[in-house]
Amino acid sequence: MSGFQTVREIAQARAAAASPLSSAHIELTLEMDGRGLDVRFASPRRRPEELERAAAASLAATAAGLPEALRDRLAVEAGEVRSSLRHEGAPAPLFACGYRMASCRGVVLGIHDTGDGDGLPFAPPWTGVLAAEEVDPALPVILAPSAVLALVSYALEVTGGHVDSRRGSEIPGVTVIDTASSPYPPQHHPFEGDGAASPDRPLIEEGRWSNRTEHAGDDVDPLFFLLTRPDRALRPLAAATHFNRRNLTVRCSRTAPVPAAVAVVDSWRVRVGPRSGAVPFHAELSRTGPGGERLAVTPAVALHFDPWEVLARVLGAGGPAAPAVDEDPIEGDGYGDAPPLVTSLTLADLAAPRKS
Amino acid sequence: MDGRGEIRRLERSRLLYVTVDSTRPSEAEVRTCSFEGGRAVGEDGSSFVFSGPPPASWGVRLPKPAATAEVAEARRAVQRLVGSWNGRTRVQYLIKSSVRIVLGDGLHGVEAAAGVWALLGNAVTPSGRIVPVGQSGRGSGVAELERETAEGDFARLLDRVNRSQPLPGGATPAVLAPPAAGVLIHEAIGHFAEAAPEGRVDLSHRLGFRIAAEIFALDDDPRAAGGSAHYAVDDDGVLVRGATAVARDGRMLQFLHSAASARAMGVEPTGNARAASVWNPPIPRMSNLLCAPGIAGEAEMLDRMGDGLYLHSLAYGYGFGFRLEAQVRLAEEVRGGRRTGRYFSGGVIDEDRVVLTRAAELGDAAVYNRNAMCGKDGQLLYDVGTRAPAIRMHELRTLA
Repeated sequence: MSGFQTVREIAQARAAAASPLSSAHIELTLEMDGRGLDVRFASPRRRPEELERAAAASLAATAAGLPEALRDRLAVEAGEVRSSLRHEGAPAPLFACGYRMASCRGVVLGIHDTGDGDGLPFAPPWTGVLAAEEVDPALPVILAPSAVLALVSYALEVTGGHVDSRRGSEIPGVTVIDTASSPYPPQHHPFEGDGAASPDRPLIEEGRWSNRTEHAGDDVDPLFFLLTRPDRALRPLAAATHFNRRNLTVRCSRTAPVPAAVAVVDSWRVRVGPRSGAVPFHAELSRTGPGGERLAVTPAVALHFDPWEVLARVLGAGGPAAPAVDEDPIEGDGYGDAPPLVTSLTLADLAAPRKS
Repeated sequence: MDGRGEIRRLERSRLLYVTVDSTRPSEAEVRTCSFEGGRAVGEDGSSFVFSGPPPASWGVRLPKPAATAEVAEARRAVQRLVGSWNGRTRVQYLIKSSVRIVLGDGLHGVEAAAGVWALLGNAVTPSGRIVPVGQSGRGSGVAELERETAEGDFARLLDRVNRSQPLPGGATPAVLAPPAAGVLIHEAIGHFAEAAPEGRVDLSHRLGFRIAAEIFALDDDPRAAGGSAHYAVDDDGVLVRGATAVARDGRMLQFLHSAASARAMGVEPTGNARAASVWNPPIPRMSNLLCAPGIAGEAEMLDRMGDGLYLHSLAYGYGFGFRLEAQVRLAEEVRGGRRTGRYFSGGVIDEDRVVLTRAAELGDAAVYNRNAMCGKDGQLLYDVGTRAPAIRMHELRTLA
């Protein structure tokens, strides 16, 4: 064999309060040689019943700690991922990991390795719920990690699609890195085809665009995509969008104090395709208070703003980076790391215009 | 899940991807994939997806699908087409041949073979305009690529976009050529007619709703002659019994159903359960959406419009809730009922789902759209046909 062969096996089970249990066990063999790239799904796989039981047990335990109104938004995943590389010899292991992950309302409640507190429930941040009408629009806004990831992802998609070039824009202190690493093991494969470490590519450094021609390129990395999202073998990569990056890590070199009472954007999803200017978002909010409470706002609310304007109003990180998810309806869930960001905006600045 | 009452879906597929960059036309990248896998869904709705052959206890294994095109032949066809375009282009050609079967109590267990193709990517004209490339359909597509090379429709579109001005936003009368009309009809009416997956949301209030002007009558037919979709059994294993009347006199008449959505609404399935792959749950999707033509010639429509826009081509149609948008690939100014040769590109149609209630008349010839790609719930199909006539609109809203 003159090329490289990578075998990746993913077993996972997902338990959610609002939908039936689902599980998957997939193995793909990806071979690169002078003729191109070949993917095969040929080995028989068994149902991961142990993972199914683990996910269901963790769901029940975690749901008990959630306000009742939020329980149908909870999902827990239990999984195992293994990768090995073969190049002129016996296969050598590249990476193996068992994990548990929970999410609710677009917020990653945690991702931990198997054995690392397996039986313990995830700790949700919310202490109760609140009606949208009860939130003071004058409250300052903080973006939670998933909201930061989704916002940066959309802003990059708009710019990457050349709808609007923002080469000169500044986002105070913010660095965005395209990386093959991920806090979510199924999307983690920080290796090149030959097993060497896959380098990170800065997209935005300290608020300024990197040289995108040099660092990012126009192409997706097929090896990374196929190994971390095996279903992509069955459809063109980046088919419907200008999606030309791997995972995102967001950092902020500045810090900012977090006010006692704030409106937290837990997560949000844009409601239109990539375009410049103000666009509508569907947002999950919560409100913190001086007593340490964090009340989830139900239902989700409509917001309307220019993503780049919001990024330009970042004051600094309000805490350490944490796992986050961007729930993209076309490309699927993309995981990354981001800190919560404190902004100089109020909720009223983001409010959708009233219909006449 | 012990197998009783279980629905088992199996698929074997072969896929070929050829990527061609006009700056390195002789270095086409080739990617192949051989897939075997399945999905089992229990009576309680729990599901398990797997790769590889099914468990031996299932007692069934699908044959390997036949190849529908030679790699070298497909590569040459893509390279010739890209070579006929002006500017920089990077396109991905896909061909997928597959065999599927659905097994379960009361199902027919019919093996269904299918072949689809797609060509997608971007072209950048010499003046720097970016033009989405999108064609797809049934079969290998090699004949369609060669026809496109010979006829040069997309090459002409690129030349016109290259000479175009940015589209000014605003509300204006418009005539949509059949390919552009097809995008609007697909988004505004077709997706509106798809029942909610699993019947999770009761959409029955939509029946009788005025979704378009009275001149519209639409059917969905998985076996329509010339349509991109062509199947006798859907991905729920339901046999297709004929066309579904979707809308009459501009009002919604029937939903397009999967087995689950039909059960939830207490009606018969319509043969519209479709899944991008066996790993995806089948959901209600269009097959071939057919809009009945009107009686007006295109020249008459332009004449009656007087001043406005002629929309040659749209891309990236997208609906979210009651909103609808599509990118304008190419538009042309119309003055005094005549096309002026002054072209516009870029900009977005930004409309409500009921945009077609502002339609004034339909053209006398309905034409299949050459792009049959449709994404929904993360599932991309390449064979969703739309046959539409030109449409004259009293008003169409665009954003610059």
